[in-house]
This record gives sequence, structure tokens and C-alpha cells, in this order.
Amino acid sequence: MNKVVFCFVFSFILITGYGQTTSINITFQPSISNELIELNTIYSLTDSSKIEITTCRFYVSNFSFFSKGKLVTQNKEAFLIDLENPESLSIDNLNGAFDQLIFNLGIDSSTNVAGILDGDLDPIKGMYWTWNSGYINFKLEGSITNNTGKKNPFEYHLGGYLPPFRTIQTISIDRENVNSATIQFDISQFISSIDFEKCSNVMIPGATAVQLSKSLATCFKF
Amino acid sequence: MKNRILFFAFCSCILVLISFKFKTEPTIIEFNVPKKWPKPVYSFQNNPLTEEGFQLGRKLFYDPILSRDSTISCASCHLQYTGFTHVDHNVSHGIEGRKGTRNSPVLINLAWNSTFHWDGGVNHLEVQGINPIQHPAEMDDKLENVLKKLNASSTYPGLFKQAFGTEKITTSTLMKALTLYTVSLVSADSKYDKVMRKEKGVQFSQQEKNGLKLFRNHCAVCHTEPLFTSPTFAGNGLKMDSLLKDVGRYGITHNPSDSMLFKIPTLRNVEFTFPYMHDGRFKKLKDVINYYSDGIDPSLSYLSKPLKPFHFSDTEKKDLLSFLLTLTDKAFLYNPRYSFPK
Repeated sequence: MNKVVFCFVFSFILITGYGQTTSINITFQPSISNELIELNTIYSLTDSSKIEITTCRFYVSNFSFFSKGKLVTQNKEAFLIDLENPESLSIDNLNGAFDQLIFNLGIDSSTNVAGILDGDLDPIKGMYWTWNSGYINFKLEGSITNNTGKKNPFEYHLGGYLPPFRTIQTISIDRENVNSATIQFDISQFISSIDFEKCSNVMIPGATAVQLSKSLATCFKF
Repeated sequence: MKNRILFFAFCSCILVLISFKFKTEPTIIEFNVPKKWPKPVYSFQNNPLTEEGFQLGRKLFYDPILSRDSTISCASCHLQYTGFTHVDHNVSHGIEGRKGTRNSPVLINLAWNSTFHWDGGVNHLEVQGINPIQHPAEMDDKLENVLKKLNASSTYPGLFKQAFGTEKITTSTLMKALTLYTVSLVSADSKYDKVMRKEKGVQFSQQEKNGLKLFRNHCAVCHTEPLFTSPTFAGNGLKMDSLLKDVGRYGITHNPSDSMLFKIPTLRNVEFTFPYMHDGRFKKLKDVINYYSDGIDPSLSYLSKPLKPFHFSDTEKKDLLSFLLTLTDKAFLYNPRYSFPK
């Protein structure tokens, strides 16, 4: 009998207690020139042009936590980060004490071919192309007004999982071993790399989507 | 202590029994793969085939509630008697008579399809149905709105509960239900199939035999038995329609070598699936055979190998046609299980 009780207590500790000690929250902070982005607000850029963001939405997935070079835990889920829904900026209760975090910006190819999915991956979220099946990894919409006063609206819908136009990016960040993490996502560099006159709309998978996705991947920092 | 454990065990048994009584599980049915056919692409892994799911999908397929103004159902462009395509229309028309740019494809043996649409842009049967629902020239509705209508209906929540265990209708359960119906549309009972199965009293005529031989020599590279299609894209040399301007597979991959390539349609029930080709430019099967015989321009860059003008004689054309007619499967076209639910 004692053995049974022992097993129960032991598994209880394993399931709940152990998990709690390694639970961490990750928060994303999308910003421009170190200012947190609020939708429909105008921000000044270094070249004195003005930018307004109306939509900023992206998927992060496959969180892998490493400690001293060894994989500790992995969470294959995908999360939709949406500035319109501030709660989505924090991902709570991920398991993993770590000194290195690797995750994907976007949705991997196996998920892209898995058929209909629920939750954050429900096509109703507006992050799915139906005519060319696949998730939109990243959506940024808004407008930029240059110093001569000319306003350029832009829409970047970046996605595509088939080679040679795979847009998913692997982000790797080192950090100190504490129980919460805030990831800065400052898109200034991304914005400054774009020629808005030439490229104001990207709505399909292709070389431009790949190039812009790579540029985005460099914007994540602790 | 021991008594307590027994008591707990007893209580759990009762609870399990009660929950079974109130939760009727949907009836699992088997998906029959015809003998010697390849393994289906669709796995049913996350969407087991059930009678309740199939019947729900069937009801949805025939219900115009899926379109913005409740005038168009899936069956409007996919009629059973013509192999689930839109007969007599080169390109299909949807809501308010709006015209699309392509000939509606047949819905036959979809379980073996790895891609959908003439350009193969859709990668899974479960996500296919979102396209016609939202396309402005088809049903022109929004998923959100369709789900709202279905959730508010007096019949659907109950039917979804029976099929998927939950009353709340979501994109996922809606698409899974539609899939269970369309994936079940299996045509494998034509004269061709009966001859191949060596059924008693069924034989090819000499003309059909000649036709089969010609078919295997010239057509089967792309239209491979037993599905009479293959999971690739091919350029059959048709020149681009100046109004429709359809570039085919290139529109999906942006690979120049995919320009003007289209999905290879199955030829099962081809007798009734007119008009033919991605833009429905040929009204009669005879026209198609004439095209492959003498209409192809061999100098075209996007002509798939080994296509060339085959220069069939009049007799050969008749032989080929008579073989193609053996692919007609009346048991499929008139199967009451697939028809409008009464």
C-alpha cells in the first residue's frame, strides 16, 4: 500500500512541482527606434521620415531551450503575436530553464501541409493563404511619409514554405538564466533596409519575401 | 485503506459508465481502397471517417448556406451526374452569375490527390473548401460569417455534436466534415475496372482493346492507371487564352519552367465531364482527341515530353474514344449515397 501512495506522491511532484520551477514567461516587445509600437501612432525615424503601423502580426513557434549547449525542453506549438491583441505578446508557462533560446519566426513546413488546424493556426485568423496553401508568417501594414511629405502605404505579407522560397527564420538568443524573458523586436533596421518606392507590397511567396524575412530575423534581441 | 481504494474504483467505474451513456460516439466506417490501388494520400489520422461526419459533410455540400446570399452550394458547380463538375460551362459561374477563370474540376478519387486546383496551389484536401467559400466569383462569403450562420442554425450545432463531439462549429470541424464527404467520392466500378478485376461476363470489345493499347502507348504517361492521373503538372501545348491569361503552375511557384503547366486531370467518367481542359475550351471528347492527334504545336517551349502530335488515323481515334467510354462509372454517377440528402 505504501508503495502505491509513494508512486502517487512521486508522480504528483514530477507533474506539478518540477514543472513549476522551470516555468518561464516570454514577452515580445515590438518597437521602432526603441519606442514600443502602438498601432495607428506616428513615429519619427532617424532620416526624419514618419511611420505609422496599422497591423503587426506574426507567428513564433518551436521554442527550444538549451542549457550549456544541451537541449532542455522543446515546445512545438505556434503562437500568433498580434499587436491588436496585447495579451498575445506574452507567452506564459513555457517550460525550460536555459541559457540559450532558439525559436522560429514563422510556421514550419510540416505544419504548413498538415491540413486544417485550430487555435492560433485557424485560417480565420487572417494569416493563411488559401489559394496557395500556407501560413503568412509575418504581416506588417502601415504607411511611411518621407521628408518631402510623400506618403507611401505599405503591406508586407511574408510567407512561403516551399524551396527555394522558404521564409521561416530561426532565431537564436543567448541570455542569463532567469525565469522571465523579454525579447526586443525593433523593426527600425528592417524599415531602413526597404526602398518603399520600389517595394511597397509583398503578398506572395517569392525571392522578395525571403529577403525581407531574413532582414526581420536580425531584429530580435534580448 | 483497502476498502477505500475499492470504493474509489467502484465510483470511477460508475462515472465512466454514466459518461458513456450520455456521450454517443460517432460510428466509424471503413474507407475502402479498391484492390491493387495505391495507398490514399489522405490519411484520416486527424479526421476519422464516421457515418455522422460523412452525412454532415454531404448536407453541407448541398447547402447554399455556405454562400453569401444563400444561392450557391458546392453542388452548383460540382454535379454528381457529371462526375461532380459543372457541365456545359467552360468556366464556372458563382454568385450573381459572376464568372471564374477556370473549368470546375471533377471531384473523383480525391483521397489520392496530393494537390488541388488546376495550378496545384492547394496542398491538402481539408483546406481546399475555404477557397470556393471565400472566392468573390464563387460563394463570396467570409469564413467568420459562414461559421456564424451555421452556429445560429437550428440543425447544424446538433449535427456537429454528433459528428465531432462539440456543438460549437469551427473552421476545423466545418472543413473536416466537408472533407469526409468529398474524400468518400470514389469511382472504381467502371467497365474498365470490371475487366481488370476479371469479373465474369465483362469483356472489352476489340475496338476497346485497340483503344487501351493506344492509350497505354500515348496517354498513360500522364493519365496513369488505375487513377488515370499522376501527381505532377504538365504542359499540353494549349495556347494561353487572351482574356483569362492563365499561367498555370507558374502562378504558384514562380519558376519559369512551370509556366503554362497544369494539373493532370483524371479521365475517369470523362464521357460526362465536358467541357474539357483547364479553361473548358473543348466541348467534345472528339475535339480533345483531335487536338492531341493534330492540334499540338511541337515547337512550343512548354510542351511536356513525350507529347507531340500523335497523328491518329480515323480508326485509331474511334478506338481511343471507345476505350475512354469504358471509364464511365454509372454506379458512381448515380450512387444514392452521394446524392442530395432528403
